[in-house]
Amino acid sequence: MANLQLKNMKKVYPRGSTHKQPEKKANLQITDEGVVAVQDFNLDIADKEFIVLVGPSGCGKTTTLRMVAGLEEITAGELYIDGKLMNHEEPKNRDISMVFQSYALYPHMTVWENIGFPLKLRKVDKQAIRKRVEEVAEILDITEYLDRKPKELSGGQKQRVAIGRAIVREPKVLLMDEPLSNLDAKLRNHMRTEIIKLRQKINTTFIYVTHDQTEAMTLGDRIVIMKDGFIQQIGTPQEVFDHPANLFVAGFIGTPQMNFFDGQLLQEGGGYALEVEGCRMGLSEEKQAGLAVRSVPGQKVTVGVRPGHLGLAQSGLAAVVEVTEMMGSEVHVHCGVGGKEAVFIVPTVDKDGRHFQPPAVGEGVMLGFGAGVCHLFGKDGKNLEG
Amino acid sequence: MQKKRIMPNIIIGIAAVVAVFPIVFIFANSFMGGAEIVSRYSAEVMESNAGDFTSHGIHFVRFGLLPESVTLEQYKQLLLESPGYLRMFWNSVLLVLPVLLGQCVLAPLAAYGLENIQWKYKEAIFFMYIIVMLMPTQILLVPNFIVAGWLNIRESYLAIILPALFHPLGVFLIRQQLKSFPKECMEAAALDGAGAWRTYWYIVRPNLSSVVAALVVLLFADNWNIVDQAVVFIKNTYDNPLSVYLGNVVTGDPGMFFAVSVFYLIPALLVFLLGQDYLTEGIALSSVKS
Repeated sequence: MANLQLKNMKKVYPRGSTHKQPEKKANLQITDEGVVAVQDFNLDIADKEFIVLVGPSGCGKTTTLRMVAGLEEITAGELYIDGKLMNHEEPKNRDISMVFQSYALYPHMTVWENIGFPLKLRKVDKQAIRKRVEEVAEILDITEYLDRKPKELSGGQKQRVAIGRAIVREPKVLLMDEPLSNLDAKLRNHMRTEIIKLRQKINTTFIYVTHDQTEAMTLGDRIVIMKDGFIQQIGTPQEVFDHPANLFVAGFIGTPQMNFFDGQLLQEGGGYALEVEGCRMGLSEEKQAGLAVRSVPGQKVTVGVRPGHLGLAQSGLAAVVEVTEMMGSEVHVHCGVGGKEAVFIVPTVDKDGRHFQPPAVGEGVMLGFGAGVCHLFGKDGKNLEG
Repeated sequence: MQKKRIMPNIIIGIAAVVAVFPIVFIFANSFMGGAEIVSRYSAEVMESNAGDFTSHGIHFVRFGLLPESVTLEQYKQLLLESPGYLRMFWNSVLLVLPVLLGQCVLAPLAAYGLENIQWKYKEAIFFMYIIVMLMPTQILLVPNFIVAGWLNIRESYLAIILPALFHPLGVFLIRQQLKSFPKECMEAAALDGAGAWRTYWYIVRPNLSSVVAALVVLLFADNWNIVDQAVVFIKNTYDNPLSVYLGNVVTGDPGMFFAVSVFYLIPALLVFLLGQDYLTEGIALSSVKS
């Protein structure tokens, strides 16, 4: 139960530092100071908000989380929790708890002792510890494992224990560092639902780190998308899906990935038109207005279309089917369009129960998309509509 | 597959026999009477101790594991009639026990400080630890002798115990194991409210039992068998550990040699038998980095 302010936060790993450095630093800025893992990080987090930091490996999301936890020094910038500057506070004084990717359970302690440990350190009365551990075990459905050691538990059970240890003392902020990435796909889906339920049961502010955009979309009130140490976009899941700020966000959010085509934005007769792969297309009034407000000139653009918004048409982009993937309720059709790959999704059965017969591999088809569903990105990769 | 296993097994078997033979030999001969030992193993080959085997006209002593008559005479004399041996056994205990206890406390703490606490010169200091660890005892005796003089503890057990307490082997072994200890556990403890000391006490220390047990076995072997340090620092014969006096038994009281050897071996064997699992586990853990 706390609000957080992260102001201009920056993390630089000095050259030759013995501290843990980011895994991949090929794209990170390297200055005289060292490797810049995070920079210009500004974020206000409201009380009880669920924030998800998402991005590829080495983008700085875990480093940011560790700076909030106090496990990494903040090179520059400020961290406030409930209005109090926390930059130089020890982790134990921040009233924050964390669930680690590797669970980080204490191997020599039983589940009971693991969960009760934070309370024991705070010299809480034994009876009160017992009561609280039992409550948490009940919430997480691990009561029957309380006497077991971590090595006797499955991955999912260990993760519950790790969450139990994190929530037992009702911290102001609960940090989760890729907590589901060590679980198999089925268990991951199950635990994702459990985390959503957990959130309804405990009143706290969540910061959750993941590289899985599905987890980000399903869990977060707001998503912070990061790349190479910079924030790319902050918004609700719907906002970042519908209005990606740049090519990276557009490509990162959404499965299958957004299709990109080279195009030309044409300014004619007081309006705009689009030419993609030699095919002329109109733009919706809303898009026209958005471009006009920003006085966007005619230019070469990258046109992004979500696979769900692309489909077979009488005329449009000439494509050749390369692969079809049957996913059960839908078919993903991969095509070659002017030397690039494009994917479109078609339901296997329509609302009238008719089965869709996907085109055969090698077959030529025409693809089209609606006037209002495409995204236009300029030379610098930014969304032209803002 | 089957062929591949035969040769290693033969080699291991031979090595095991070679290693175990002296122990079996000492145990078996400890049940011989003093007179039989003296006559059987005297340097001079006489009619009484000559064996059947001759070569180029040279006779050899009659060698055997089994005594002609089994007796507990050696043990009786050792335990009931020669208190000097018991005293020297106790001297050995007095020299070894503080080292073991002290190392069990100090080495994990030092290793934890070197591995998990960030401070400027720790790698340089650890490098010096390794240099000291690689030096033979005899090289270290000179500086130890000088420092013992400064501290006015020459001719005292402290002159042997203090350097052994801070021997770097334990710090090295335990630090190697700490490298594989999950850092997240310590970070979780820090977030749970533990400082450096409580993280060590509640989280790190309980997970070091294997490597500390291995260290006890190694240090026991090292310190139970000390000779050079005792020869340099201890002047009074009756203050010597049994390891030093054992050599004198052969010349001074040869009839007692095997029983005294058994007496000397038992603690080492017990420590090894109790700690052998920890020894292999501890050494293996210390060599795994992550």
